[in-house]
Amino acid sequence: MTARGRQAVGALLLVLAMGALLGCNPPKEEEGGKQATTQVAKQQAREIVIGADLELTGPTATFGQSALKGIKMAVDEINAAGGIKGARIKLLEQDNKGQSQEAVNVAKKFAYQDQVDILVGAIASTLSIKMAAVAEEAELPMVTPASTNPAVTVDNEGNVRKWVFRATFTDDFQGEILARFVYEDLGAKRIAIFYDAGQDYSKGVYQRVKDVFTSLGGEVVAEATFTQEDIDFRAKLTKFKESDFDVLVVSGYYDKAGLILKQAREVGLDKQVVGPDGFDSEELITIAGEAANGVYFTTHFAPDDPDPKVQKFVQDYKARYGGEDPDAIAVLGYDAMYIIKDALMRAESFSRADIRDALETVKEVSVTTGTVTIDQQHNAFKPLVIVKIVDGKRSFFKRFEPPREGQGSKEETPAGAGKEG
Amino acid sequence: MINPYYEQILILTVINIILALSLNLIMGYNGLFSIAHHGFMAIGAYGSAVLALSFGAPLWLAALVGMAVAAVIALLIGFPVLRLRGDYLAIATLALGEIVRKLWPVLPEQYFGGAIGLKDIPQFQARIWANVPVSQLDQALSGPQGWMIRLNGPMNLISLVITFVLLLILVGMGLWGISRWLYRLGERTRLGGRPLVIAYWVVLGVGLLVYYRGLLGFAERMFWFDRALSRQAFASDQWALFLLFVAVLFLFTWVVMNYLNSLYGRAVKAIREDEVAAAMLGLNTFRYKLINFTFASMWAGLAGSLFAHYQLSISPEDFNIFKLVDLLLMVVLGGMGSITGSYLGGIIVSWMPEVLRFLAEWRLVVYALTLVVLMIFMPQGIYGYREIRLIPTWLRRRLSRQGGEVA
Repeated sequence: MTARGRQAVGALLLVLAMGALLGCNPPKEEEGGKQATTQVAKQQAREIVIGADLELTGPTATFGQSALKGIKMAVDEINAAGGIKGARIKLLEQDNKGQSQEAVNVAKKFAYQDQVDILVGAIASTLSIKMAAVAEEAELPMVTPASTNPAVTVDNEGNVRKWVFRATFTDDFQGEILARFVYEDLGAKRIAIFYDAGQDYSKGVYQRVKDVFTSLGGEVVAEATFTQEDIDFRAKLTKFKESDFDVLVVSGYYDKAGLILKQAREVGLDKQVVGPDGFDSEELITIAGEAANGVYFTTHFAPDDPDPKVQKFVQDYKARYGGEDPDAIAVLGYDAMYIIKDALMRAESFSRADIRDALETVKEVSVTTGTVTIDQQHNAFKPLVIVKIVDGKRSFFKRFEPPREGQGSKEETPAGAGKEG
Repeated sequence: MINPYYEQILILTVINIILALSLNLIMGYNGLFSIAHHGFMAIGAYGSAVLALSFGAPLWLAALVGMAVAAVIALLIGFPVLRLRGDYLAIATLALGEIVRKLWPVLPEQYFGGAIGLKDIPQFQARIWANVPVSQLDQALSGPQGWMIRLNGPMNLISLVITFVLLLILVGMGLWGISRWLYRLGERTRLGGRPLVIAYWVVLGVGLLVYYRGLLGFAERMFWFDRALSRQAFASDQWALFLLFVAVLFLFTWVVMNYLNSLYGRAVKAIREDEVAAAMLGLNTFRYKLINFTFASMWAGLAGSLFAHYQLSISPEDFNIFKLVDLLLMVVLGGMGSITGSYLGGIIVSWMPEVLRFLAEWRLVVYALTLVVLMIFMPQGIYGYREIRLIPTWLRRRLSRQGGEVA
């Protein structure tokens, strides 16, 4: 008898437990599903659905989390200010674990299951490239907030992907500005370049710096490569000492750059060092210590930029997220939403095709990191920030307005630049 | 028309099952802890994608070459590596997988795409009857190929039914396995077998009702019933691609079943049970291990090639250590040395993370917890060293009565 009673109680408990597990969640999903199936209902409810496909867990989780914080803040602000022509923005977020397979799954889920109006993501370029294929197939406008690899917005033949946009600049653009900065502002005529041959990011910047610097009239007198596995750069740095140059360009991420800076000091290589936005991390200073002082690097934004818009963003962000300092990815996520907002405001309707057309004609929109224009290559044409490390702190050095006549290669001019005259 | 999101997961399931079953040949049937399988998948994917992209090879040829390249490399590598045993073999193969991943960025970039990988890879075009744009449908209907297009509608319906039945069988297999295990658990403890199984089915039923508003709700999400879309389905082979993948899977399964019952398969299993004893019986154990390794790696190459031409872009990071963990999970979770187990492992690993998406950040926690629980209570996996019987035992006995003992 007791055994039977226990059986019943056990079974009942199991039913309840699993019922609770299954039962408590559906409303959320159901809401998304229902709203997805009826496009008409959505129009009546005046809601624009944005799907964020980001790296919220996994090895690059900090990027995704930062971007999401920026995006959420922007969405809340836009909604609080009355939304888009009376329509609210609804944000759906999904984690892709930093894996391309998951990124594609999520993109397809957003495109077909949840029927979002705009797809946002990812941070890593390898993921964005895969999502771009889905966006093209589903004819869904996609905006990547921070992927800088040029390949994201173009296909193999170099044609621009119709539905894919980028809310930031490319590595090519960054390399060009870096070269100009070294040539014009630092007055260097001879440079040496140290880069990682195994990384597209590093290689892309290297190639561009080299091309632009030589076309400006400078000379690249020495170059060497390192790999991701290297921790001792002393031999190569000593070799650099043999040639005579003014500035050493290190194209790589902060972990290697930090070690390079430190070891350059050790072998007595006391040249000015500059680098791309891969330098933008507190870790660089932690690793390099004293040797980091005086280094310049290009990046998207600096928290101590005196620009009032930047200061307002930093304050709001700190207030919202408990005193946490915003990083570059957060501000890019935030800006991406305002670029989308501008497009939505001008879009004839909230159909995917009209949103796409409006995104293509984004022109001189003022966001936190400067004035943004989407060019013909679907890249954002916007100012860069040069940061200098002073006394172990990253401090704003100057804002580098891009030369009006051309971003990237010569034949591509930003949309609208011609009309500006 | 199928919702492409579900199509994506279904096709990934097929690819994952091929991977799981081929890895099971090495791990489950031969007892070798070889963990370079993601490397061979990558070789197949890259081999086939490079051939199709840079040399314009037809895709069937590219896929075959991808398989062949994976097999040849497995043969060359297996020669020294398979002389190792146990942990040493694991270490050597783990290194091998990593070497393959590190290889792609170093190879010529115009062919292999460097660290960022390849994109815009040509897609498999499965075409059985006809495929015309919706706008030209009326025109095409009156043309010489009109009969083909008229066939398309019903054929798509039949394909839909086939897909649905397949799904039911696959899911049913999993539910049946879990029920059986629950029954045994109940018998051993005081809960009782039958109440536990009944409770499980009640929970499942209630869950399905609440979550999807019944089976029909699930079907509605998975398949789009819409006039405009059905018109499109009428015009094109919406199902052909999935059915092609399923056909490849079944072909593969059939080959593996025969292989396992052949001289080679039996030798391989004998080696798993006791390598020394097998050698004493006169088997050249190294030879059979090498053949088995090459055979399994070849199919991993095929899976890689299917993956490349479905996903349309690949990068070295697609084949990193996480992919390997997924592969091991499928084999160990589904069941070592079991075809049914490989199917189940593939299904669970492909579907579970997607089904749990509504849990947001708790998704991976719940996923991991489920796996831990399954591993604690089912250390051999759901179908470890067992197979499901598609024909019930009593029927099988009756059928084979004339033939004598059941094998």
